[in-house]
Amino acid sequence: MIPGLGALTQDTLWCFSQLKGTVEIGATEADIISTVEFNHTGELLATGDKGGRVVIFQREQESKNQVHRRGEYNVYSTFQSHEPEFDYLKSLEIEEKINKIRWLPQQNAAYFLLSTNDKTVKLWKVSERDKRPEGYNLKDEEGRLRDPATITTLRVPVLRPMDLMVEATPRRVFANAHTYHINSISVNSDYETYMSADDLRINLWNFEITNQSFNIVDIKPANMEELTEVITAAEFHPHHCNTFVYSSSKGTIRLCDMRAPALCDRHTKFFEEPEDPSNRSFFSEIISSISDVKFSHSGRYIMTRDYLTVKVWDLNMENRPIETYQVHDYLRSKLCSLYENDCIFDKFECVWNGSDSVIMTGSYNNFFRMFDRNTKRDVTLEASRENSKPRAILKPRKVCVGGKRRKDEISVDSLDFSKKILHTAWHPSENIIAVAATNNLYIFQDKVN
Amino acid sequence: MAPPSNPRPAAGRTPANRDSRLGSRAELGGPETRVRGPGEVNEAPTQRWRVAKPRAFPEVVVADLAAEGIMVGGLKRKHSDLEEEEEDEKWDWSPAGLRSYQQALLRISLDKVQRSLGPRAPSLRRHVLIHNTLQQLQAALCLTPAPALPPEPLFLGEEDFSLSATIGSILRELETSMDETEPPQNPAAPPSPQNEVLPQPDPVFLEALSSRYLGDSGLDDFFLDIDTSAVEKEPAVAPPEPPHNLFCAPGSWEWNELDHIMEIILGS
Repeated sequence: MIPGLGALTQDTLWCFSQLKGTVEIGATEADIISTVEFNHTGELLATGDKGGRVVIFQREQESKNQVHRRGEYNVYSTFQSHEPEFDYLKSLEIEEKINKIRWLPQQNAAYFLLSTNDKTVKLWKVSERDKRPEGYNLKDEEGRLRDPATITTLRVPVLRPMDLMVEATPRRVFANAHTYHINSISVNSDYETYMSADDLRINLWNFEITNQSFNIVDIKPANMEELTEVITAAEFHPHHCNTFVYSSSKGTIRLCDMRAPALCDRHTKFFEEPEDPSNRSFFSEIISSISDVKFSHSGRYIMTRDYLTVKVWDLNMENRPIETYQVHDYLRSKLCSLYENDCIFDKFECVWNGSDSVIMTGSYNNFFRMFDRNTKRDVTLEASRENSKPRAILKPRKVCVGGKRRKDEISVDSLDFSKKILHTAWHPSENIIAVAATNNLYIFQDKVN
Repeated sequence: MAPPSNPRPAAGRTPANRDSRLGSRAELGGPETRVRGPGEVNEAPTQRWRVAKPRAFPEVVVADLAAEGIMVGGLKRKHSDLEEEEEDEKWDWSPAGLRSYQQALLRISLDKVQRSLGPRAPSLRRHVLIHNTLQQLQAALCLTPAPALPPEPLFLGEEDFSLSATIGSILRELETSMDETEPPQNPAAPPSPQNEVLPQPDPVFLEALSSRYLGDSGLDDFFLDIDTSAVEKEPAVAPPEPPHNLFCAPGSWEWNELDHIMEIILGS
């Protein structure tokens, strides 16, 4: 990877590349995208939706003839990952919505990913089939069994080419281990285990074993009435297979070491920023609730997203973040309304670029924000149909917070709060981003000069 | 492999049973699709979405309080004020204004708790956050905490987390807030007369409310012993004016609150 690639300099211009999804007004709730994830090479891009489906896009091989169109992503496989279920004991529906997808590193020709809804994690194998065996001895061409007594000669079956078929099969189903709603899954760097986290517990699984898991974190109080804090996200360290972090609804992050006691209720490190008393309000706790936590690729930093900010923490400093970025501070005076219409509970995700120099997160009105950690520049871009001409350069957007509104600015009161960018993904090594805008998936690339 | 709780195995060998538009081969914005002109409007979010209400919203709290003639300093401030010094951030709220604001938040929070019940298991995170906010409001309203009552013994199988326990504590908070006897000691004409004392709210209201909350999750059988006959009337007429001694005055917050509760109970 070229050093500096991915940096958000003033030379970086983002262009529209592709738009996936429906155009007409017939969009249903099932089409709402609920998770987006590149695989480790960036060749594949997976999305999950509220209807329990997974759609995988594959990047085309770049052709020498069309250098200006870098490899586009086209549909590779679509399958129904989870179905709605009904828990008869509690008379409650279990949503089929895919909360998270995580890829496993590729080890052979097939691709593996984990997908989860609120209760069940599944390991899917996605593989190609482009050959078919023909010439069986015991079966005829229609597949009917032949009477062995009628066989007089033997032949060796041969593989003949067939149309490429991509099939997805569920290889493991990890069920019945979570009482509460799963919010995170994370594959360990040993590639043998992974963890799943719900509101109160975190379980460690071995990929080969589906009927048991180890409970490694349990914050459920003996008396549920004393419950004041839940787990909101969790992730393994990218290199140290014994280390993971989890975030809470009170704005804290705990780093745990599994080499210590089996139940990691005692954290090794505890990250919390003291509250700013001048900003205190009834909503202070709600807006401090962390909605996403991500290790940097280097493993030296963690990034957290709360309602109004993104923070970068150094693992060696627990008492405050090293960087804080304001995503949409103009909403601070609107918190009461946002509480009333539930927007204050929206869970935004955040992502690092491949070199950990730029971070990205979403906002409302289909805006998303990028922050360059080195130059301290930031930019607001919009995922909208108007900017959907091929290779159209995205124009930076600006929200006007008071005084005279300039021509290109949008005022806070005109923001559309139903258009929220909760899920984004950044290619592991290139400046290609995928942005989920409700039921549409936008792919943007930086301008190739 | 342990069978999943759903007896049907997951689909997988063939592409999706139900077509995902995302997975269709149609490419948007490509050369073969129609380029949308500048006059074309973006598709509107459909009303079927269970997302937050769309578009610009008026500051609802401000509107309500304005109707009562209470000056709520700060909520109507222009955004340019936010760029001023930190000192300006300390609202100059009249005690009555602050109180009404807090009570409005209390009402909004209770609405949320009610709305969060449904066929799907509620989000525990959301519930905990609302609950913590309610506790802050309670503390701010200077109420004494309710005596520690044992929670309703509602066991949902092996999961002893009961929504009712959390709701129960919230209801106890409401009960306590309604027990409160004194309106604000503000010599500058508070909305309700100072010499009226709030009586104990009818406990049947609260228990009926509880059964209403939990009835939505299909657990009515657990509350058969609660006598709700006093409130389960046919809504043939508008709710009758309650006896005078139950309320301070019409138009007060307490009146509106119980009126609201009556609507909930009878309005379904």
